[in-house]
Amino acid sequence: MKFSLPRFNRRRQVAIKRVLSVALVTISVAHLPAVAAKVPGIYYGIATESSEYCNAQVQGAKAVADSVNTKLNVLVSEFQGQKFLQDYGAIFSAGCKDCVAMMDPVSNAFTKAIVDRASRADAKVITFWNRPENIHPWDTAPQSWVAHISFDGVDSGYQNGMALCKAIDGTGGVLVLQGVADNPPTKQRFAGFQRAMKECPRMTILDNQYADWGQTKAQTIVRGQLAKYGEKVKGVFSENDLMALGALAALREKGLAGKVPVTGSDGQSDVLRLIKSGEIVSTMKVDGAALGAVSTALAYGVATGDIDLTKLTHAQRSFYLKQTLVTKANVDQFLDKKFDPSQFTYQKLKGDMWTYSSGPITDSATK
Amino acid sequence: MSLKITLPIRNTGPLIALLALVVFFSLTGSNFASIANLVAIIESSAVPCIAVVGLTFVIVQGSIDLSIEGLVSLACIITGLFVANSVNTHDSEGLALLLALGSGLVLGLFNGIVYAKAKVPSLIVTLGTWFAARGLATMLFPSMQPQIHDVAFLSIALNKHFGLSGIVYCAALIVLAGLVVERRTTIGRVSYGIGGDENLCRLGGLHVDRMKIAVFVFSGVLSAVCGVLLSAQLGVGSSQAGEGLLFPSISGAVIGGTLLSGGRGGILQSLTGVLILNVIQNGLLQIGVDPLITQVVEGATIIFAVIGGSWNLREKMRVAK
Amino acid sequence: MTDAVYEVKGLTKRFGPVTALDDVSVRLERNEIVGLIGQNGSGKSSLMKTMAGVQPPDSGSLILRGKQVIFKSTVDAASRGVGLVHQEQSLVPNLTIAENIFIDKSASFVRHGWYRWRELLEAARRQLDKIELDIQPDTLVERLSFGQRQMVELAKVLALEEMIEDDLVIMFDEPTSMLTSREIDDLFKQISRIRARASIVFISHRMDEVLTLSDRVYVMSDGRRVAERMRGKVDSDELYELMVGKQRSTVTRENEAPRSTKPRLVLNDVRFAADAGPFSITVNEGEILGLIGVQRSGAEMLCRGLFGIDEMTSGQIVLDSKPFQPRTPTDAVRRGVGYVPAERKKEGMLAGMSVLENMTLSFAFDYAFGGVVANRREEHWIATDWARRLKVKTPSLHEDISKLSGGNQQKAVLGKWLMGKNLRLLLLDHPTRGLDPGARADLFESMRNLAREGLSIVFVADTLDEVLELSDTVAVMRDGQFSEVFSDISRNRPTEEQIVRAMV
Repeated sequence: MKFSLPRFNRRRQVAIKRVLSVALVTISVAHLPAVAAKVPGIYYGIATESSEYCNAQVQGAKAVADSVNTKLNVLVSEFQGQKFLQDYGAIFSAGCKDCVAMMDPVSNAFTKAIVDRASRADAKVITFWNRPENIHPWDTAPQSWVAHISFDGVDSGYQNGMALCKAIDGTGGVLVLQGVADNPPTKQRFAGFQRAMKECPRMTILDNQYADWGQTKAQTIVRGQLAKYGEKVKGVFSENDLMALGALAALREKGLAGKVPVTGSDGQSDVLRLIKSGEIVSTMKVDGAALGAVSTALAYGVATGDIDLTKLTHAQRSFYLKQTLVTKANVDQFLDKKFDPSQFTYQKLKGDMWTYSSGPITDSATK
Repeated sequence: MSLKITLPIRNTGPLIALLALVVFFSLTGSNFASIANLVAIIESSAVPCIAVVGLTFVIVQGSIDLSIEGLVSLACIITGLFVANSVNTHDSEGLALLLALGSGLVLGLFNGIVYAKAKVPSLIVTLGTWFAARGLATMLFPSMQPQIHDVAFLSIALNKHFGLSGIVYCAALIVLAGLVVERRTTIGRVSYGIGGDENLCRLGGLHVDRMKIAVFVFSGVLSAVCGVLLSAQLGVGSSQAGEGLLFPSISGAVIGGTLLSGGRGGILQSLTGVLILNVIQNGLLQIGVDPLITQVVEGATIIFAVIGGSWNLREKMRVAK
Repeated sequence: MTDAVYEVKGLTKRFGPVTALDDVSVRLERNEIVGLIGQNGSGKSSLMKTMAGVQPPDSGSLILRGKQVIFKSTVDAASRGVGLVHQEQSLVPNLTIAENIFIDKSASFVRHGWYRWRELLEAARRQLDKIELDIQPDTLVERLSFGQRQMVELAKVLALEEMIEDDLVIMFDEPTSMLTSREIDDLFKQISRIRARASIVFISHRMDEVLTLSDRVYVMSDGRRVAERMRGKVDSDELYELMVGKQRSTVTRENEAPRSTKPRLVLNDVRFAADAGPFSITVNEGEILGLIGVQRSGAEMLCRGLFGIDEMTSGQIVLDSKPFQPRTPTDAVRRGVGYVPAERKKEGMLAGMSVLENMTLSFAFDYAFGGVVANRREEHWIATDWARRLKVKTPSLHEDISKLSGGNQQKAVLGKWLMGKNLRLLLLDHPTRGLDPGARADLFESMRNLAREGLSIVFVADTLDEVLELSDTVAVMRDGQFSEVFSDISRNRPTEEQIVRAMV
């Protein structure tokens, strides 16, 4: 297409084109087709590159991959399960025997579909967080679905709930901010909170809304809630850190930051700083690096034969990783903690894959 | 069937719908009509209103800008990285503003030129820019979210004057400026002409291409402004700040009467639509509707608001797009 | 040779193999009104467009006020004082009258992109006063009627007076084709008023107009100037002959075979929304009912009501012995009613699609296998047949319909309705608008043929001539009702006075 532009616009155009091609390359990195490989490929899936937790997972996975001299491929779902179904489906159907894939399927609806495709390609897959309660690695795809790893949502809800209870001296109405309705972590964390409420009977729920894990949405909702309930709001229980930050921002607008306690979950470093300053009471720190490394190592071990899948127990194929409640008391040890790749090499983890496990996933935890 | 209301303004339907909703929620929600809550609604509407000012001109011309989410996110993360923050040692509001607004200007210019000169449909161009900007924003994200330490900057959002934050005043200023452009400048007036019949405008000797490019630049810069203000509001540089802004902006504009077919509506109409959406969201919260069915109720209320708002525009042979 | 204010010599213009202008020379004297007439395709539009700067000639010269000029565009021509009042409405509908008047002119009240509304509106008011148009200048153009828009176009051209020292040359491209008779009178009154300070050329189909208004007339045919006549020295028959090349036919409906007395359409006290009615009348098979009246007398509303566009509020309609209550056009079409609207560009045809597509669009299901799968071959065959019968002049049926002349477009739209196998009643709203006399004659002949085959026709006529020429029954409309009905006019022909008296 020829169209006449004054010369100075041309420079701008070229610059823009360069920037755009870099962006395009970046985006397309997430779409690498399967390599018909002698060495199996390692495919780690994260939700978004704009998250500390996801980036930590990639760090852990990369440490393992580097230690066995294999390239790590990162796929990004942007919170769309459909995208993972397509991307992983493409990789598997291109031929992927003994390659390893680790990801959070984003929603229960996609777990079985992805696992089935892996199974047909003889690939080894490990899933996180989202799994329908009635299927397990050992009964659905015993050769391919190596394991399902999660973090104990009930525990998170319970411990944060107790911390909130303590912060409000056991009495008062609190706002509850939940994630996406029907998500397992959403249900689990709320179940944990309800358990805490049983032990802290004078802590009551003033209002309960779904903020879809989002910071801005939580801020808008809490603004409205503060207008509705005013002084009755004694605390905020948020199922994740981003929503806690949003709630905190709304509180700040009213000068209530630090006066109304807030809890979160995830263990983002900015939230850790806010715990130190007292504006947030607690969060459940989940070790993303450990998740990335352990899952990658375990899947790799099974693929290369170092680990015999048939000999693994149920507890070894469906387990929680350790998580720690961070409060003002212990926050210092987590602040500025640097990532040490040597802790997460394949060789180190091979010794005991389950050092970071805190126990098997129990079904019906939400009942 | 004669529900025809003859009024000097062509379509006050959405405004009446807004008032009806306010009355309804005031009566049924416990604290809806309180000052605190009305302030909350205004605060939540401020940033979408800014985006919708830029979007209105684009829509009036009969085109569309899907890239606003990407530009907002990009501007937000840029701001977060260049004012005093927790991740690096930059500390310059001036540089932050320059780069953030500059990114909006550049990308808006790109949108406009490709649309007007290369004749690529605006839907396609801005779709591409949206993803590219989003990708850029993601690229710029450091390993953890930069928290903004610059207290003076944050005070835009935090300091209240007469109960409203600086962001609301920014929004008000931008709306006023937008109205002036809409009513009193060639670009504003001819944009309607372009939406009505572009060829006639060209035949009349008007610089249609220039005006097309100009409104996309407006939209890009205003999206960037949203990104900057959001970083103050959130207190962080977020490369996802724009997520979810597109739908309420466009549907707000359309609900208010700035139809996607072009040539109709305007800034005040778009604002009415945005307010309708925010009032519905907030009102349902105040009533205490079960959160699980909130989305369904929101959708239904929007449909009723739109039907009620355009009741007197029904004509058997009118084409609705 | 008096020094003409505007003279063209030896203009030639070709579009591919078609010669639109063939060595044409005309001149316009100061303060003169010159009429250009000719059939569609005669070159009169091309001539005017060349003179107004819309298109450059291939050869020949334009001499304006004694100096040779070349126009780059209409805006360029306007800046030299040659203004064109378009047929195709150059006004931007979304903008106000004031903005439209000054859209192609630079002026002090729109400076650097900044509007000074008060001055703009005042200036517009002054322009509107010149033609005695009493409408607020801040009204949006889309709210105006056709006639009002035409006046605004005129005001837009007159606004040039402020910028040009000399008298203007104003050209009117078929200004009256879409106007009602009252609006035409207004326009002519204004034209007469402004001739004192402008020189005027105008094109019209209607010979009576040309004869009334012009001082001098040029007749165009096949791209050539074939005649020049002074007013008072020519009558309409001679002009017709010069234009069309043959004598005007005076076919009436005498000596027709006896017609059916079976009623097809019976209206009993029928009212339509917005004060149309009550109507009571019977139309037989093969009968042509002509409606005539002043603007808003109810003729158009009757047609639209019968087609289901406007709602019927009371009364009964019986179509082919079965009750008929059309709520939407779909209902009407299903019962075999067709409607050719007045503004065919907006309501009748799809510009951008071919003639064939336009013709076969509505009734494809009548020909389809099982009502679903398109039967292209049969469609095409029948459409071609109709196009031939109606004498649609087009290089091919696949030609874009917007390239056809007005008359041929009208015929194609008519053909579309005739494709419906079930057609019983055809409603035609001002079918001759924009048609030159030759095309009109063709159309009337087709309508007569169709009536002879049993089709019932209701049409809204533009002139007394038309309604007397074509109808079997004349219904005069006034204030939304039938004021008087003259049936069987081939035997009892009413005089023009009788009709006019019933109209007013």
